[in-house]
Amino acid sequence: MMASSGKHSQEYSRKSWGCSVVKTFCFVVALVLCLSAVSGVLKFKDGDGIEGPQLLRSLPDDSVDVLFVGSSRVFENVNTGVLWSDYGIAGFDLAGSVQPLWNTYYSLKEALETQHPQLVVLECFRAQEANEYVDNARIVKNTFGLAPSWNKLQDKMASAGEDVLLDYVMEFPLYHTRYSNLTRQDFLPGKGMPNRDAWKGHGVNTTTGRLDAMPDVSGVTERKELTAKSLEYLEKIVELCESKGIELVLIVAPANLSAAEQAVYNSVSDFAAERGIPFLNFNLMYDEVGMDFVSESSDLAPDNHLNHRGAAKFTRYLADWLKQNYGLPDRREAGEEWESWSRDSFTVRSEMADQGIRDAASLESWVYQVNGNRNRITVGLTVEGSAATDETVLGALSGLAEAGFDVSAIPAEGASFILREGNVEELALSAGSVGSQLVEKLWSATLLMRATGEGTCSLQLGIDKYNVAENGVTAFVYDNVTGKTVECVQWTAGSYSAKKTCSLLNPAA
Amino acid sequence: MLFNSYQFLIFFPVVVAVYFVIPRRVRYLWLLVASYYFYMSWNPKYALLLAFSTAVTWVSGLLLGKLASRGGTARFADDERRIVFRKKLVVAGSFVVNLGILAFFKYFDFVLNNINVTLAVFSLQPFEKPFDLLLPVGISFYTFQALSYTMDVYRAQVAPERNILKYALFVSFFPQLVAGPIERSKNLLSQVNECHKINLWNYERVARGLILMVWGYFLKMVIADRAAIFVNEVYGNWEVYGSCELVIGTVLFAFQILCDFAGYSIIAIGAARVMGFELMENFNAPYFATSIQDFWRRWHISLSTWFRDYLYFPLGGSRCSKAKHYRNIMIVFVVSGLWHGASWSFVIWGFLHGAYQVVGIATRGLRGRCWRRLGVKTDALSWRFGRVVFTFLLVCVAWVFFRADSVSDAFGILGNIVCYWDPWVLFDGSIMRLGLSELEFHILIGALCVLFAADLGRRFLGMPVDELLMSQNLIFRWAVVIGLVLAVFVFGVYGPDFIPQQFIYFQF
Repeated sequence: MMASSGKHSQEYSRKSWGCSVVKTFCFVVALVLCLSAVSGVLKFKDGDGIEGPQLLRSLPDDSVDVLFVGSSRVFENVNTGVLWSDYGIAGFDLAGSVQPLWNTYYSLKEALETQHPQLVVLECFRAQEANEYVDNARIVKNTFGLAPSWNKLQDKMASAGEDVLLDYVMEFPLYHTRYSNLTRQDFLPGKGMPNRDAWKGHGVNTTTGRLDAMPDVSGVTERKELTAKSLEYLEKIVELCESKGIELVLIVAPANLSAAEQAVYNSVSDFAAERGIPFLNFNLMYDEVGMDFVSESSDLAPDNHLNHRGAAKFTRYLADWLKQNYGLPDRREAGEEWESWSRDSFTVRSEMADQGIRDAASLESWVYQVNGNRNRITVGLTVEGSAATDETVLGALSGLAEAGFDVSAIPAEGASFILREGNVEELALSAGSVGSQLVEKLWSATLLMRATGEGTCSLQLGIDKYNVAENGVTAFVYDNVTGKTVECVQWTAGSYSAKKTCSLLNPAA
Repeated sequence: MLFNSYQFLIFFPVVVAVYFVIPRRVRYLWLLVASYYFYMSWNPKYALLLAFSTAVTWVSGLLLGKLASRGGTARFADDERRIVFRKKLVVAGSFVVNLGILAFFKYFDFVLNNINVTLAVFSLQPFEKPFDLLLPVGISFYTFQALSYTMDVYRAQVAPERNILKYALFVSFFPQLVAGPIERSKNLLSQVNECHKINLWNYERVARGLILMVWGYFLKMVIADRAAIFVNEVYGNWEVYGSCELVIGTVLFAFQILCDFAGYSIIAIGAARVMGFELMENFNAPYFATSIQDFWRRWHISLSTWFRDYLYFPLGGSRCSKAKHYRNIMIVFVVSGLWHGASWSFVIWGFLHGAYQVVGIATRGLRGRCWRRLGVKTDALSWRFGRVVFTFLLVCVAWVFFRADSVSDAFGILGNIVCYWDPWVLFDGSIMRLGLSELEFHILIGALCVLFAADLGRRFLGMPVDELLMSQNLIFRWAVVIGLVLAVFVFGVYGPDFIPQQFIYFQF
């Protein structure tokens, strides 16, 4: 009896032990899943520095032909879309803003584990880095995108002081507070953008900055030494490329350069010459490249990067030089492996074309731009009040005839339309049609145009309610390739040569 | 090493893992080493003070034990009186040495400053400060814990511990070393002696311990440190703020100090429980108290019972004349104020709590008669609720002195609360510009609702959080615990964006 009771108790104890182990295991799994999900939402997802290494890892092995590395002067100035569409070069901008050479080295090291490009082009802007450690935001952007590895740990050790290193190693102490500024991008794959998975790192800058005169640093002959740390990592980058049998080119992109900066690049030039590495300082070649920082259509952006015009110009010159000297292959017909470059190029070119639409001031030139891009954009258009019978307006809008837009369909009291890839849908605005509506599902939100009274219409994209001109033309333009609103503008009766941006009726507080 | 530091996140699992792996007979040695390492991570030098205090009280315990055994065999009354006298001498010696160290480190500057203020009144040359003293972390806590042992041995409530290392662990046990609960030898020393019997894996015990730790972190990192942002702004620049900001700041401070201190105690109790030790409860829904007396039965229980057992009762407690009873209450609370900090504002804080109680006791009969004549239903829920609110109000007035940087600041703050009426700040968005955005306020209010629910459970079901959760179904329990972990992970105030708040009670 006693023995039997002992056996039962032992069995019960074993069962209880097993049960608690299973419960503990399940709890830990549930906790880890929840933490990962929350962590995934909160993590930094900046295109600047963080996305690049992640997207590069997702590419087929050995598909990149030219890897451009360095700071923001890489991702803003080297247009991967132009490289692909005009030259068939499979390029990738692996860069982060104010990226010091030690971050560039570790990024490159990780990239070369899966890619074996024919060429690595290092933009040397941050050779002038004078600090041992850069600011916190740059440390995050330039290290968090790497895959968890010993390489990443070394990157962080080189980037952050001992007192804060643990925060950077664990990462979540730095991103957990992002709960206060989460956006749609944080919850959706690919940041909720179409074709983001195909992104090759180029950020199109559509702003314009101007200088009084072109900078001239050709007379600077002084040399300013790189810091020991920068020099150490420049050496390491050279050694890494040599050990992998990859050609290295050093460049300095066009910018509004100071004499002090040029003195650093003179040292880089010496360094390159000693090692037989090609070095191109485009700040000594403005005329050859055709750079213009002075005119109204300047190639410069206010933040001292090249804008979309300058980047395209600079990229073409660079691509010509690379093609000429390294015989890079044309991958445009090479097959599925390079399909994402085609999508990236289309997206980049769309962003550039969107700027053309934004730049069109008059209704007539705007219609011309819209018509030229009708296959990739959606337009919400309302013509109200006297504009519905204004000959200037009707004449301008007739330019959309190719898209099937019939100006004779606009009644005297006005009308609203949605134009999508050649299709036209009309919304009746007469008094009897109050409540009738047009609904268009767009990539990031739904466009709603609703008749609100006699000859009036409301226009709403997601939560944003736009002010519609009661007597004039209002146009909302959405890019289906980038998944972004291009603009919402209006021309009021009598001033069809100057458009103005629609205000929001419900602006964020 | 703070509980909310990366070091502790590594230290604690390592200590627990080793604790359960090593031979059972040396477990206490491992915990002793871990405890001293924990303490020395602040300042290794102060471990000497801890060791000295330990040695003095241990020796006093041995001497008391020896004298007690002689007392048992004394033949003559004179011998017994002599032995009692010697025992008192030993207790006095232990108290003088330990309280002397405490007074030196904690009150030297305070006394010197007050002497200099007095000298200045008579236009006399002030004394120069001979050295800078840094208050050793947790000295008030371990000193009181060690002295309780001397008293307990003197009163023959515990036998003297012969193994100095086990006794040293009792004094330095790391979960409660620096901020309590102030344990009694009757409870903790016996557990130290039995720690070799603790089983490696007891799901219920470990789960409850971990739940408590998570709850403690939630209180500290989500509520206390978030409320501190607002409180620091308002109290730091009180001159420019009116009644609304200062009232909200004071109410938030009431919750900050509760969540900070209770949070630490709960983490300590949870951590100890994971290792198989049961520490005494330190907080029991104090803001649900219906009187100041009730409040002190629920607030910092280990300290108030310490003062009750080792000061209030020896003074005569309530079994004496009314005047002496009131005197005893005032002494206990003024000393309690001084224990909390060497400044007049703490003394006033203690005085206020003492005065509240004296007035409460003195007017009890009169109030009772009044309510009866007025026909007030004192058993109604609304009456109890009113008492809770009134008690909270009194506590908050006292907290103003506790939190203000000086007595004059405290009076200034109270003056602004009364005279500078600015209700518009509640409507024009000004409140959201005092360090906490609207979202942060919402998080804080949500977290306070969770605390309210937990304290309701404690008050009316008599169950602490761990017990309450363990009595629920698995899915609900897990959902709550995972929710708390996520809340700490996401909404916890930590990382480089924030300056971590030290646990407030470390300074005491």
